[in-house]
Parts: sequence; C-alpha cells; structure tokens
Amino acid sequence: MALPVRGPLCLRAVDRSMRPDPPYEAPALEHGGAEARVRLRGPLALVTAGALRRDLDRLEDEAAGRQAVVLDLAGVDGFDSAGIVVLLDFERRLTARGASVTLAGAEASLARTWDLYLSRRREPAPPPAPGPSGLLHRVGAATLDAAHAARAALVFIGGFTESLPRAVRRRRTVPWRDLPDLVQRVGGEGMGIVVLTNLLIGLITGFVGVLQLKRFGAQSFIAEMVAIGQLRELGPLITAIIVSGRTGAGYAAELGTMKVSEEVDALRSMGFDPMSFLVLPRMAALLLALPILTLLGDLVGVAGGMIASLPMLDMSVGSYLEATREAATPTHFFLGWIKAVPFAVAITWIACAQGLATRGGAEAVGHRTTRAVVFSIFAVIAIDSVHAMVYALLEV
Amino acid sequence: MAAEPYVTVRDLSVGWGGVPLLRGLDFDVLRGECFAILGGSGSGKSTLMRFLIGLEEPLAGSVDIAGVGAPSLHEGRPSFGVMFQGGALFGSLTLRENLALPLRAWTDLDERTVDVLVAAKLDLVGLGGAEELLPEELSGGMRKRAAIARALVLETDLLFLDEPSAGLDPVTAVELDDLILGLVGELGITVVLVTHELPSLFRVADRCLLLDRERGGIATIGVPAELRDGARDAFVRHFFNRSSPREVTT
Repeated sequence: MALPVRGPLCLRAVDRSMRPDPPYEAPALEHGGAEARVRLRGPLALVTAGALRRDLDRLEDEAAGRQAVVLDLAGVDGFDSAGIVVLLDFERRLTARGASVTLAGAEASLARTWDLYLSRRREPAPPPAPGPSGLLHRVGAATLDAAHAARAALVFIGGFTESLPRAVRRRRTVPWRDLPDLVQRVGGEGMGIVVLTNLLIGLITGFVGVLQLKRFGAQSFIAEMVAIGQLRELGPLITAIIVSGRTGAGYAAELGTMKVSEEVDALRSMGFDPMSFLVLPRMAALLLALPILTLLGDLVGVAGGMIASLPMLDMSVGSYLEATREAATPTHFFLGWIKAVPFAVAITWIACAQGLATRGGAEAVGHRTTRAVVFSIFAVIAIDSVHAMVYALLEV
Repeated sequence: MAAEPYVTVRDLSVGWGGVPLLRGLDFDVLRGECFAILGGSGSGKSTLMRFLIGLEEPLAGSVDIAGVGAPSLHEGRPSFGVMFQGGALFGSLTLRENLALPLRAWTDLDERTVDVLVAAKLDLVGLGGAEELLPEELSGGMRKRAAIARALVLETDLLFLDEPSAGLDPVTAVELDDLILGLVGELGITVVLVTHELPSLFRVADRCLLLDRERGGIATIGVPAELRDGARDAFVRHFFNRSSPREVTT
C-alpha cells in the first residue's frame, strides 16, 4: 500500500477527510545477536509524536546496548515530518551511545524526508555552564544593574543640560511651534481625570475626616484639615501621580516608537539634537501644564471635602469657606504647589530617558513604557517625601 | 567616473559594547559614484552605515567626508542626506511637514519658498501632489521615495541609502533603482547604498564592497559584474552566483 505522504516540511496540504488516521501502535524491540531491531508500526505523525517519543525513550537503554540498531519502517502507515523528527532524535541518541543505526523498509518519500532533516540537523548546543547563583550573586547583579541605571540617568541629565545652550544658539532646531499642542495634550486632555480624581480624594478626606474628628469633638476643624492636606500634599501628589501614568506613559511610548522606527536616527542625521527636538518641548509643556493642573486639583479637592463634610456638620457654606480661607494660607498653598516643578522635571526626564533607551520592537516599547510609569510614580513620591522632611525640619 | 575620494574610511573598526563586529575597514567612495555596501543578513551593512554617518562612535580608525573630517551630527546642518530602511518619516507629520522640517531648521527661507522646494523634491521622486498625505497613507515604495526626497531637500550631494529596495515588489524596486540612477547620473549625487539585492546592485552600483561576517571585515571591493564573473574567492563567488557553499568550497 502506498503511504499517504503528508509532506516533508509540511509544505503539502493534507486532506484529513480522505480517511481517518490509523490507530497508534507502540514500537517493538526485537533482539538478534549483536543487532536490535525496532519495529515501527502505524502512523509516524504529529498527533502521535508524544506517545512515540515516550515509547522510544523506554526502548533506548535496551537498544543502545547493541552494536547495530535497525529501525524497521516497513509497518509504518503514514507519516509526517514530526514523526520523522522524533525518530531522528532517537537515532541521534543511539548513535551518541555508540550504536550503528540503519533504516530498513522505508518507503521512498519517507526516506527522502529522513535524509532532508538529517542533512540539516545541527548537534544540540552543550548546556550553558551553570552561572553563579544564590542570594549574594543576585544582590551583586541587582547592584550592578542599579549602578548602570544610575549612570544612564546621569548621562541623560548631562546630555539634556548640554543641549540647553545648543537649543538657545539654534532656536529653529527646537520645534516650539509644537508647544501649544503638547500643552493641550498634557494639560487640556488630562484635566478631566485630574479633576475627577482630586474630587474623589477630597470627598474621601471629608467623609473620613468628619467621622474621626467627631470622636474628639473637633469636627469643626474639618475645613482646615481638608484645605491644608489638599494644598500641601494630596493635591500636588495625586495630580503628579495621574500625570505620571498618563503623560509619562505617553512620552515614553511616543519616543520609544520613534526610536524603534529609526525616526530618532533620522532626526540626528538631519542635524537635530533629540534632546532639543524631543525632550525640551515636552519638558516645557509639562512645566507649564502641571502647575495649572495642580492648582485645579487643589481647588477641586477642597470643594470635594466641603461637599462631603457639610451634610454631616452643623455648618453653613459661608462658615466653611471662611474657615478654609483662614487655613489655606499662601504658605501652605505655595509649599504644595511649588512641588509641581520638580515633579514635572522628574516625570519628563524619566519618561523621555526610558523612551529614548528603547531598543527592539513593540515589546520593548511596552517594557520601557511600564518602567517609565513605575519609576516616575516612585520618583514623585520620593520627591514629595524629601519635601515633607525638609518642611518639617524648617518647621513650615 | 570621477577619481576624487569623497568618503575615505581608514582602518575602521565598528561594533557594539566595545566588541568589534567589523575590523580594519579601508575603502574610498569616489565623488559621483554609486557605491554599494553588500553582504548577507547580519553581516553588519546597516551597522557600518550608522558609523559612516556618525550616529555611532567607531571603536578605532577614521571616517572622513569631503576632506573635512568625521561627520558630527552635533555641528549643525548635515553635509549629507540619509534614507533609513523603513523610511523613518515622522508619522504625525504630512509629507510637506516632513520635508519642510530640515529647511525650516537650517535655512532662512520663507514659507512660500519652502513650499516650492518641497513640491519640487516630491515631483523629483514621483510623489508630486502628495504633500498633504501622512506616511501611513503611503505604500512602502512611496515612503522610501519620500524619505529620499527629504534626504535631498537640503541640496546635499551625498546620499546614504539603507536597503532602498528591500521589501518592495520587483516593479517598484526597479522604479526606485531608476530614481537612484537618475540622482547619480543626472544630478551628480554620490550615493552610498546598503543592499543585499543583487538585481538592484547590478543595475545601479558602479562599485561595491562585500562584507563577510566570518572574516569580520571586507571580503572584496570592485565592480559588481567583474566580481560576479571573475572572483576567485569562494565566498565572493558564492555570494554573487548564489550557488551552494559546498559547490564552491571544493
């Protein structure tokens, strides 16, 4: 019976509807002096490759003890490349153990497929030497990674600083005409989520604050608590975190995509400095937009606190606003609002550095974007902590 | 063909992370010729181009363009144009804006003159009337044409083209070859072309350099047809005649 050829390299179409696959039959080992004969029957196919592999594994030790092993394929009923590859792997293992392996009874097309895969087979690479492991090694590797990251950050900041005088000298190489659009993207389009988030934070502060202050009979101080908390900490911090996630991710993904599509190289080949052309306008846009968003977040947060508190207090809107006005001194407002500047610088640096460090394809862009968001949120919180400590030391 | 060297490369070593990929490269590109950098996948053709145009710092050796030293991309208006493999047009800008960008940065031209120059360059590459299209609206061949137009917009006389015909159908590839021939033959532009497409090579290149990854350097330099017909080196014969390595190593 002619074997139904499923095709070497699977290039030929298989019409499986013509007949059902014959049932799998396990190979059998027969001994005859120094020779072992492995009789293969049934299909050598992808669907039975796993079972064939396991059965051949079981026969390996016994067959390898003989000088010669014959793979008898006369009983094979249909094959494809997967079956042949499993058989070739068996042959390689036997040969490596000193046995001489030959084929018998192979139909011509099966033999051609065997020869093709055999001629292209490469010896498997030796397993890599085990590297150092353990806690000490991991700590060392992490330390080196951190040192490299710190160096890369310093190089980026140095490159940015170096580009500033160049940008001044060659004003036309900086696309300032893109600035309004960038500010709109960063500020205008981000306004909704900043307002909503700060409103919710204000509401939460109001609800929780009134309930807790009531326990001490101090609920009348809720306006002060909401105002100071929102202006000094929550407003700037929450706004910056939202912007880190939104704008930081946008910057990193945009620059990363430009990097992998060689647009950054094209810019450089036309004499543009990526720092001046890409980073500087984005820095300017965020420096303009984040303080405005922070101001907006402050106002909405305070309003949210009022909305939550008033129904639970015996207090008029006017009294609440007056208490807020007295608590929200220019100092409290300024100490919180000024943090928008270092937040904007850190978010832009981190996001643009991650974007411009992208190498590879879409996956690398995603990876760098994730890092940009995580690092910039961490940087925002770290900067806020430093400010809190300094303010505490200065008792302001 | 003019005999004056335009790009001079001496003992150049290029690579990544301090590890050389190609070493001891010595060659000249002559003014007015189309010079091809040839090699198989992974042989370092595009890498070499990045070092020639100054995107990367060489590990050793030198590149000199027009006798004024190594290209520096920090020193203002570039003296050459580059077309990258995928075109590298700015996706958010129309073709007009893509071409106007270097003109606005490096010249004092008014917008009307910029528009006239942009339109002329797009006409030159056969994309007249496509000014308002975005790169995503163009086919692969059109994007490469547009990238060539952008590379030419500052009136350079030296062009670096990375795989201009890669990924294009044969008809479009021939059209792009004709464009390159026109740039060299009619405008006198010197072209350094990275390619692995032999039909394109034989059509447009005056001379070529063949990189061999195994040697880590240049396998040969010469006229493509002469290398195809008369090379003694087995690797060169294999590359040009596309025969099996086993046939030529005997």
